[in-house]
Amino acid sequence: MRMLCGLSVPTSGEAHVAGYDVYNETEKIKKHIGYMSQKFSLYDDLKVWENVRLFGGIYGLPKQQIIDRTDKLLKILNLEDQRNALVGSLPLGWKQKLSFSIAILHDPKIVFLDEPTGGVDPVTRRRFWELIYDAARKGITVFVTTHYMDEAEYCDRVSIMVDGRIEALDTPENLKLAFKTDNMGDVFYALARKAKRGD
Amino acid sequence: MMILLLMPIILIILFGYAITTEVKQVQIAIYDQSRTPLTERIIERLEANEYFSLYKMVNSEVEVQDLFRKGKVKLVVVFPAQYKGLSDEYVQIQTDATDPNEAQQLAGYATSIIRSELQSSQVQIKEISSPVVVPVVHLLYNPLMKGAYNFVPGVMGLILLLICALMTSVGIVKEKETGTMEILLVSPMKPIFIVIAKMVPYLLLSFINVITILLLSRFLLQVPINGSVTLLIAISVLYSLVSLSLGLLISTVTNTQQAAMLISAVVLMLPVVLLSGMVFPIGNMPDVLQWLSNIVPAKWYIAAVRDVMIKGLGVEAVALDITVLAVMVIFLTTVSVKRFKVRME
Amino acid sequence: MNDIQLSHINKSYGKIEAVKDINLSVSQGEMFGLIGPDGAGKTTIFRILTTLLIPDTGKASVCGYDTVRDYKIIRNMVGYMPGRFSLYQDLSIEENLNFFATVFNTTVTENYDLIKDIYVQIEPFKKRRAGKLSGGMKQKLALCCALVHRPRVLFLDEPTTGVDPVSRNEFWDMLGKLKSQGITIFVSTPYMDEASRCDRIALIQNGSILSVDTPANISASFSRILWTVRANDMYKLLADLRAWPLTYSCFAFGDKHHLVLKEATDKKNLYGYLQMKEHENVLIDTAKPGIEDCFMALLGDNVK
Repeated sequence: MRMLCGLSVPTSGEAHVAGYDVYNETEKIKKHIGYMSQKFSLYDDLKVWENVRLFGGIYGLPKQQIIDRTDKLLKILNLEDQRNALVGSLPLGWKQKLSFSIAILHDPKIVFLDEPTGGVDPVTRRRFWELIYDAARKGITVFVTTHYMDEAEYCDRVSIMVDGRIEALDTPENLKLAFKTDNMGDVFYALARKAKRGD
Repeated sequence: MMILLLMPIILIILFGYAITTEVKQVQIAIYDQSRTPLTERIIERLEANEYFSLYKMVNSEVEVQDLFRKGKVKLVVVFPAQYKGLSDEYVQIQTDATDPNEAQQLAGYATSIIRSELQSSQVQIKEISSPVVVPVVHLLYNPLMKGAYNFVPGVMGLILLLICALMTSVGIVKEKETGTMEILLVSPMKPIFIVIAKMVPYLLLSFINVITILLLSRFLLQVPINGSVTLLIAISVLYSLVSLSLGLLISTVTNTQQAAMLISAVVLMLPVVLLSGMVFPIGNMPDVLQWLSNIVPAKWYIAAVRDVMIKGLGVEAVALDITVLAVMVIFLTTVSVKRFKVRME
Repeated sequence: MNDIQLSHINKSYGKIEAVKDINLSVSQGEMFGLIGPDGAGKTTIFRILTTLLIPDTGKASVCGYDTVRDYKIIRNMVGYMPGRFSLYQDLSIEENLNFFATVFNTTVTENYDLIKDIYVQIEPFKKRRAGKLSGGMKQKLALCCALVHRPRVLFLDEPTTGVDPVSRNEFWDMLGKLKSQGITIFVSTPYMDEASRCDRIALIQNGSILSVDTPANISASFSRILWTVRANDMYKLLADLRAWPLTYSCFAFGDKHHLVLKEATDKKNLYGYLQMKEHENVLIDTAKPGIEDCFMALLGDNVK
């Protein structure tokens, strides 16, 4: 994920994100992607609207557009009453949704989500996936990592990585067929128990 | 946060008004072997001057040495017998040159005062048109006027504090940050052992550092160790203990390594540089700062090291410094062990 | 006898009430799970039980000793693995284990039989620094360190968070073995699917306990019928099911949606509705509710 986001360079091989080369077009890549990590890349000591404005500004959105999108975003998330609340005071689930919405504020082609649902309650986790669905419907490519096997089922395609290799890459349907099981957990277990390296 | 805004203000005021390298009201003694009207006029001038204040008239060279040893005076003017202010005579100015910069400055002031009095007197007597009287400056403890004589004790005061206080506080706070402290607290190990275990390595380290500094200054910088090496090391260990307990105290009031470092730097290092007498003579500071300097452990340590190492004095001369440091150790250790929590907040 | 007893425990940090009126008891040799999301108050309960925090009100005891008054006795009897893997990153596996053995006045060999099964898995890497280990290996090392003095009660705060599913599975197998040796285990996790591994569980949210029982009883307490529905367009299916007036709640569960209705109805009615919404390949079934369904139902009841 770091290589795809232009944060580190592969030792060898070729990779393109949004049509740009990961070796020498990282700045262009960064313009066309959104990124959200497990730790929620928001500023706890800024208000909700200030966070939106900050990230809108970072991605170079015009002032009026930031204002319009802030209103729209808060309405969709039902956070209009919390506009002036400090992000640090929000419950984890809300922060997570806000963080995701800000990651796609600038209409990126692709959004990268690094274990976005760690540690949240099951309802919040599902509500969050509905936001992801929604983004995908609008044409944003979503690239997500997770430890929850049921979340693998929500994806169009999944890859299972073991010891730095892609051991499987297909739709959840096909993977389950190939491993003769009815859940992704078994597929993962069958592949991952071969893992040898300790790191 | 506030500290970042207040720092420049405090520093500017301190340096601008309070802390200066200028000398004022320095205690001096005079050994007048001739007692003529001329020497009396010169003495009057010296007394009237704002730089000096007469501590005592003395009657023998032995007494002069004694005053220096006890640290009562910083400068002594010695007039030879039957002094008439002639060009083949000389007035002797002796200074305690443990701080060479200060010594040079004081000698300069005294020289110019004596010279100007001689000039005005000689105009009256009309003996010689332009007298050139150069007083001989005798640098008592530091004949070569080496800066090292001054900075070696200062560096020792700084290094020991840095290693002991900073490293201890950061070391303990790091355990809080990584969560290992949580496990240690839940173990049957007594908190006092956690504290001791954190202190011992840095005490050893500072011991090695003291030896290194002493060896370097003796053989590389040629600064003599005039007093007892054992006493010097004993005082250093005592001072290290003060620093360690300060570090422990800091660790009980902070929860992040960053905060521990900032407090160690601002609350501990700054006073050492400013108020210990290492760079700026304490005698010239306003009363408030002179009083404040008494709670800076480094002041007592540096003074004791100067006495033992440079002046070669014995344990009686530094008894006060040792007592103060010992009281500090007991007080700080008690407070911080009491504050050291067996639980979390 | 109860190895762990909490009665009317309250603890606040400033204005935030971390835990509210907690009542729990765990008997000797039991494996008890505290299940809830981040920020539910799990760590606070752990810290109160491991004598690190003093509750504002209420009484807590471990092995019959009061956590405030007798904290020194308790510290001799319990093993604790805090939420973050609290190991010395710059010490090797071997050094960490020896260090904690010394801290607890014992040696690694004295209780080696207890940790042997776990330790052999990480032994090939024993010279490696703890900071360079994978999540699964750190977890095993931390468990060894917590067990090195053969504690009577083992406290494990989110031991499986951030660890891959295979390691998580292995970890629960290890806990099973420890339980069979008579060690009382008090463990927390945000993963609902791990609940079934415990003898009894408490579901906790926002500092309050929603339910305490065996996993089977909690599943059985689910009073409504749980429908599972799938179709070609799962996203539209979710929206349409939520819009249906009869729907109480509907959430995605892997490749199906779990649907709870406000009132009993038959399959035909539901099928008819989805036909009307033009869904293709509709599959409707009922399922046995899991802990996650129960937790969500309890959350829903609390919120509404």
